[in-house]
Amino acid sequence: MGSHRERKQPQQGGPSRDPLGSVSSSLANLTRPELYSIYDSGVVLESEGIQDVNEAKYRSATAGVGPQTLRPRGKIDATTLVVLALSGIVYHELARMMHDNHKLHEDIISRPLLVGVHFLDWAVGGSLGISIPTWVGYALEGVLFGLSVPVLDRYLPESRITGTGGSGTSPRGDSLFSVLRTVNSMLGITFGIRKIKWASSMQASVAWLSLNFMLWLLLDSTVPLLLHSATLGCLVSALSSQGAGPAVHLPEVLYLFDFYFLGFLVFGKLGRYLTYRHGYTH
Amino acid sequence: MTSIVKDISNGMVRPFAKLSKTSAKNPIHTILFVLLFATFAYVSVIQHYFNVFQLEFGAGSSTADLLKGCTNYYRDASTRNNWVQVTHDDDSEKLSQYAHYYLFDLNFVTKNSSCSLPNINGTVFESGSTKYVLRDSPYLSDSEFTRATADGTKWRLVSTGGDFFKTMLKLFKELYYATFNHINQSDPFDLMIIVVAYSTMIYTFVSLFNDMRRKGGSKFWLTFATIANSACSLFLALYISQCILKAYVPILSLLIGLPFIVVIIGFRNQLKLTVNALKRTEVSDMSRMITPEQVVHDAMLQEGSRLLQDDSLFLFAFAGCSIYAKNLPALRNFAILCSLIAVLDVLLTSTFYSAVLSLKLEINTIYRSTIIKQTLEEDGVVPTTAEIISLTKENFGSENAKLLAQNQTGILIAKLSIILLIFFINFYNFGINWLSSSNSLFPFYNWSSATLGNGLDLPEFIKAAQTSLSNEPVVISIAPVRYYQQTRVLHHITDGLSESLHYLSRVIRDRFVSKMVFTLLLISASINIYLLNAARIHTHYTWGQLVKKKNAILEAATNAVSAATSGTSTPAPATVPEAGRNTPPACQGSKKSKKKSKKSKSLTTTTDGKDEKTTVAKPPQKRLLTELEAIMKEGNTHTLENEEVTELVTNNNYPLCALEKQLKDTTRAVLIRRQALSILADSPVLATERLPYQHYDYDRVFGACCENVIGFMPLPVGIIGPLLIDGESVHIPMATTEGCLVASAMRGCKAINAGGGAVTVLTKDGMTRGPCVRFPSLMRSGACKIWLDSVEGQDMVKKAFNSTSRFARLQHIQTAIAGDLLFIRFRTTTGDAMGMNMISKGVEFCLSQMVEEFGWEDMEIVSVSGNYCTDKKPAAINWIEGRGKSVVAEATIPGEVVRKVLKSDVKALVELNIAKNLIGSAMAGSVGGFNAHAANLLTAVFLAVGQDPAQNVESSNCMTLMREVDGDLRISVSMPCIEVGTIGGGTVLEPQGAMLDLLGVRGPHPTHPGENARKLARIVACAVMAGELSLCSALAAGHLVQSHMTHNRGKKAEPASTVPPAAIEPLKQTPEDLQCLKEGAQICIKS
Repeated sequence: MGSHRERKQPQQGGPSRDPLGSVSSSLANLTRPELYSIYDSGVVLESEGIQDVNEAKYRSATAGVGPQTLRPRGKIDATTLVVLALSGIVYHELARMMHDNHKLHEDIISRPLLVGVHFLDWAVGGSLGISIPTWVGYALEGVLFGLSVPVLDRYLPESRITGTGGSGTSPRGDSLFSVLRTVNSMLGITFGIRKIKWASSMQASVAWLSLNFMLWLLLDSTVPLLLHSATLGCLVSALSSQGAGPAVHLPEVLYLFDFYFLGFLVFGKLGRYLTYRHGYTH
Repeated sequence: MTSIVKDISNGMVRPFAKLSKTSAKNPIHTILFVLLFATFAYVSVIQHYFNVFQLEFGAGSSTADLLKGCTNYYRDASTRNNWVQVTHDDDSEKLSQYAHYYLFDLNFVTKNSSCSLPNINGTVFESGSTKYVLRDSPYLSDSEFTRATADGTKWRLVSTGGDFFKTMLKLFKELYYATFNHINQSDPFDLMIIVVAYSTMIYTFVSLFNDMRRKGGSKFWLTFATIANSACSLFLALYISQCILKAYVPILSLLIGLPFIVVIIGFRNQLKLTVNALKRTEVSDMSRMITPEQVVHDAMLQEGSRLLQDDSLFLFAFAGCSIYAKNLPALRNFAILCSLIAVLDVLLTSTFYSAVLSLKLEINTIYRSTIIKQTLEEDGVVPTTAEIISLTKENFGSENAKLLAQNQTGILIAKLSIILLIFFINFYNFGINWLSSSNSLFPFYNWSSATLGNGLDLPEFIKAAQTSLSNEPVVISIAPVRYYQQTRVLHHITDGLSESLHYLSRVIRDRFVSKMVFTLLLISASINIYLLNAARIHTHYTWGQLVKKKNAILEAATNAVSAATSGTSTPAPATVPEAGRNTPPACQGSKKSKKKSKKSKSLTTTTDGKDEKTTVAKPPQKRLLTELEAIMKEGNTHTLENEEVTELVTNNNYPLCALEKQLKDTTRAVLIRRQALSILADSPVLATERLPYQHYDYDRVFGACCENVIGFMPLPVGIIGPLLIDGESVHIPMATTEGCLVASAMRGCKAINAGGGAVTVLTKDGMTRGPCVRFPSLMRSGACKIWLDSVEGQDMVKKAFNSTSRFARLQHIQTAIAGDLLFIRFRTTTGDAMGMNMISKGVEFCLSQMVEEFGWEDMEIVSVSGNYCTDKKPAAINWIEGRGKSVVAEATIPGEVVRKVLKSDVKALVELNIAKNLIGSAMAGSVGGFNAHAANLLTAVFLAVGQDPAQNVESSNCMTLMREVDGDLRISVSMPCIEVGTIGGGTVLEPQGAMLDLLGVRGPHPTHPGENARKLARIVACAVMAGELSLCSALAAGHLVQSHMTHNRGKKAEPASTVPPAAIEPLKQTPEDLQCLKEGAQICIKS
C-alpha cells in the first residue's frame, strides 16, 4: 500500500501539489470525472497497481477451479482407503513371489510385512481385544504406507515437494499415468529378478540397487519421497538382518532394501495421487 | 541432485534445439531420410526375425537363401554311407564342394482322386497325390504344372496345403498353440505381470490419443507421428543392436520387455513439445514474425531438457546395466537395445518429430489464414480487404505462409506434398520389400518345418535307394513341401491379382526399373521439396509483385504530377523530407501502409501537419475544369493533383464517396475529402490536423469499417490487470474518457486476485436474428409457426441455414406470432466472429427457401430484422433467452482484502448490493440493469478491442450478486448477452487487433472455432465484475459522502498547501475509522 500522504494530495487540492500541474484546484475540481467523487483518492493514484500475481496464480492453479484462499490440503476418502488397502494385499503377494535363481527364496522378502502384521495385531488388535486377520493386516499396512507420504508432504514447503517425475494433472505432479509408470517399473524389475538367470544373488541385488536410484530420478525426483523410501528401506533391511529367524545374508539384505525402497516409492506416488487427485480443498 | 541433472540437461538441450530447428526448416528432407533409414532398418530387422524359406526362387532369390530354408543331408565315406543332416552355416564348404541335389516334395491337394497329376521331369518317387522330384538345380518352373494334364486339370501352386482360410486357420492355430505352450510353461504370476504391462501399454496409447486430441488439437496425425517416431526408434535400435553390434535380442524377450519400455519412456515429452509449440502459435504476438522452425526451436528449448533428462537417465541406467551384466547375454543385449532406444528417441524427436510438427504448424498457418479470409468475407467484408487482413493477420507464418494463403491451392500443395511423400515411401517399401518374394501374401507366415523344427526328414525311398546314387559324396537339400491345387474360378481372380502384383514386383525388381523407382522416389521427394519451396518462392514473388504494383501506380501518379507541375517532359524534382521518422508507434498501421503513407505525402502540396510539409512545385499553369473532367472521364483521376481533384469534387463533378476507388490510394482519398469538405462545409477545421488522419491503415477501413472517411478519433486506452481469470493472468485494455474508471477497475482486479482470481462459466453461445414475415391470414401464420416449431421444420431450416456458411450452425428457432405477423428468432453459432452479417445471410437464404421450396409461397418477408433479435435495443428477450455469449463470472474476496484493499466491509457491501442493484433496479423497472455500472466497463473494453459499441445496450445486461461466505465476499456477475467477436468488424483495425493480441484472442481460434470469442466474453465479464466490486465498495464505504465533505471543508477552510499532509489523512485503518465508514456508507445509501 502506498503512503496515504501521496494518495491524499489531489483531494486536498493545493495548486502546488495538484496532480494536474499548474491547473488551479477549482478548475481541477470542475474537470474531474464524475466517478472521482465516489472513489477514495487512493484508487486514482494507486502507486502499486501492478501487484505480484504469483501468489494469486498459485492459489488459483492449485485450487484448480478458481478462487480458493486456503492452504492446499489433501482429501482422504473411501476410495483412497480401499485402493490403498487392496494395494497393500497385492504388495504382499508381490513380496511373497519375489525370488531369484540363487539365494533369494520366496517368503524372505515378505517376512517384514508379516512382522508388521503381527505388530499391528499386537498394537491395535490387543488394545481392542480382537485378533486382526492377516489379510486385514496387509491392507492396513497398505493404507499406512500410502498415507505416510501425503502426511509428510503436508509439513513440508511446496518447493521441496514438487518433483519432476509426474506428468502433471495433480497438484503434486503425480498423475495416474505417473503412478502406472512406477507400478510398471516395479513389475518389470520383479519379472527380471525372477526370470533372468543371474550369476549370483549379489549381482541381481546390486543391479537393482543401482537401478532404484535412477528410477527415483526418472519417476519422481522429490527429496521427501527419496528420504522416506530410503529410510524405511534401510530400517526394514536392518531390522530383518538383526531380527530372529533364519540368518539373512548381505544379498538378501540388499534385496530387502531394494524391494522396500521401490515399494515405498510406489506407495508414495499412489498415496499422493489418490490424496490430491481432486485438487485442493477448503 | 535433481537440480544438477536439470542444469546439465538444460545446457545440453541447445544443440538438440538447433537440430530441431534445422529439421523443421527442411521438414520433407528430414522425414524422407528418417523414413528411408527406418524402412531399411525395418526390413532388415524383420528379415532377421522371420528369415523364412521362399517358395519360389526368382531372379531375386539367391541359392544361399534357398539353402537356408532347406534341410540338407550329405553322405560320403566318412559317414559310412549314412545320411547326416547338416546346416548350411556350419557346412557350407561341403555343400559347395559335393554333388548337390534338390528334392522337392510336391503335394497335390485334391478331393477327387481321379484327377490326373502332371508329369514332371525328375520325378523319383510318387505316392498317392505326392510326388518327389529330384533336381540338380534349385529351380522348379511353374509352367510344368500350369499346363493342362491329360484330363484337362490345371494345377496351381498355393502357399500351404489349403486355401486362404485354411492358411489363416493354420496360422492362428500355430499362434494359439505357441501361445498356449508358453502359457502352460509359464508361471501364472509372470503371466499376470505381462498382462498388466500390456494393459498399461494400451492405456498409454489410448491416453496419448486422448491427450493429443485434447491438448494438442490433433485427432490423428500428430499421434500417428508420435507413434511412428517411437517405432522408428525401435527399429533403428533393433537394427543397430542386431546387425551392427551383433547383440541379438530374441523375439520373445522383445515381446515381453517392450511394454515395460513403452510405458516408462512414454510419449509425454513429445506431447509437451507439441502443446508448447501449438500454444506459442496461438498466443504469440501478431506483430512479431515467427516462423514454424523458430517455434519448434523455442518449444524444444523449453521442453527438450525434460526429454533429454529422461532419456539420459534411461540411457545411463541401461548402459550401466549392460556393462554390469555382461556375463548375462540376454540381459546385456536387451539393455543395449534399451540404451539405443533412448538415444534414438532424443535424436528422432529432434529431427523427425520436429519436422512433422513444423509441417503441422505450417498447415495450421495456411488453414488459419484461409479461415480468416472466409470468415471476413462471410462477415461482409469486401474480398480485397479480407485478403489484406488475412495476409497481415498471420501471426507467425512468415511471408511465405502469408502469401501461400492467398489461394486455396496453398493448402492443396501442402497436403499433396505430404500425401505424395507417404505414397511414394510406402510404394517403395511395398515394391522392394513385400513383392520381392513371389508369394507375397504370406512371406513370413510360411511356417515350414525347416524354420520351426529340426528340419525335414529324409524320405525313406532315398535312404532305400542308396544304390541308385553313386557312392560319391553327395548332398541332398530337401525343400519344404509345396502344395498344389486344382485351378478354380476364384483362383483365376486371385491369380489375376497376384499375377499383376507379381508382374509389378518383377518390373520393380528389374535392374533398370528398380533404379528408376528409386530415382522416381528421389524425384518425388524433390518435387515435394520443390512444391514447398515453390510455394514459398511464389509467395515471396507475389508479395513483391503486390508491392511493386502499388509502387508502380504511385510512381506513375508521382510522375504525372511532376510532369504536370513542370509542364515539360522532364519531371521536376520533388523534395520530400523524411516525414514520419519520428512518428510515434501508436496509431501506426502495417509497414505497407507506412510506405503508402510516405508515397501519398509526396502527392500532397500543402498541409498543416508538421511532418507533411512538402515542397512540390506548383504547376505553372492551372488546368481548366473541362480538362480535368476529360482526364477524369478517361479514368486517370489518380494522375491529377490533389487540388485538381478537390476542385472536381467541390464543383460537384465528383462524388465524395468514390474517391478511394478512383484514386486507388485510401490515404490520399482521405486527405482530398478533408480538403474538399473544408471548402464545401466551410469548416476550416478539417484543413488542420486537429482531427488526425495520418499514419493509419485505411485499406483495412475501406469496405469494412467506415465510409467517407476523414480521419480517425484517438481515444485514450488504459489497462487493468493482471487479472487472474480461470487460472490465466490477463491484462485488459479499456478505452475510455471517463476518469477513475480504469483506476477503479484496477482496484477491483487487485481484490479479485487476492482472493485467488475469478472463475467463469459460459452457459450459452449463439447470436440471434429475428426476421418478421407476414402471411395472408392468421391461419397460415399459425401453421407456419407450428411447422417451424416442429422437429421436421427445424431440421429443414437448419439444413438450409447451415449450407450458407462453414461457421454458422443453426442451434434453435424460436417463434412468436402477432396477428398475421410471424417473428422467427434464429440462434446460431458464428465461430469467432460476432456474426451478425453471417447470420443475416443465412436467414435470408432460409426465408427464400421457405418461400420457394418449403411450401410457404404466400409468405411475405416484411423485414430480415424484425426487432425480435433484438439487436442494439433494450429487450427482455435478450435478458431472458440470452444473445451472443451468456457468461457468469464469480470471485471470492477474503474479508481481510475487502477491508484492506477495498476499504469496505463485507456485510455493508452485501447490503448495498441488495438495496441498490436488486431492489433499486426493480423499483426502477429495469430489465437487465441489476448492476452498478456494467456498461461503463463493458463499453470501455468494447472500444479498446474493436467491438461494436452500439451493442453495449444488450451486452451490458448484468445482474450483480453478492453474499457473505464464511466472512468472505462471494461476488458474481451474470451477463446473458455479451456480443463479441475476435474477427471482423473493428477487430480488423491494427490498434484494436493489437489489443486483442494483448489478450491472446486475436482472430479465429486455430483448433476450436469460437473459443477466442468465448474467452473474450469471459474477460469482459470479469472486467465488469472488477468494476462492480470497486464501485460498490466505494459506495459502501461512504467515500461519496466523505469526499463531498472533504471538498466542502477544503473550500471553506484554508488552502490545502497550508494543511500538513499528516493532518489530512482521512483513512486510518483502525476499527473506529472502519465503523465510521460503515456509518457513512449507510448514510450514503439512505440519502
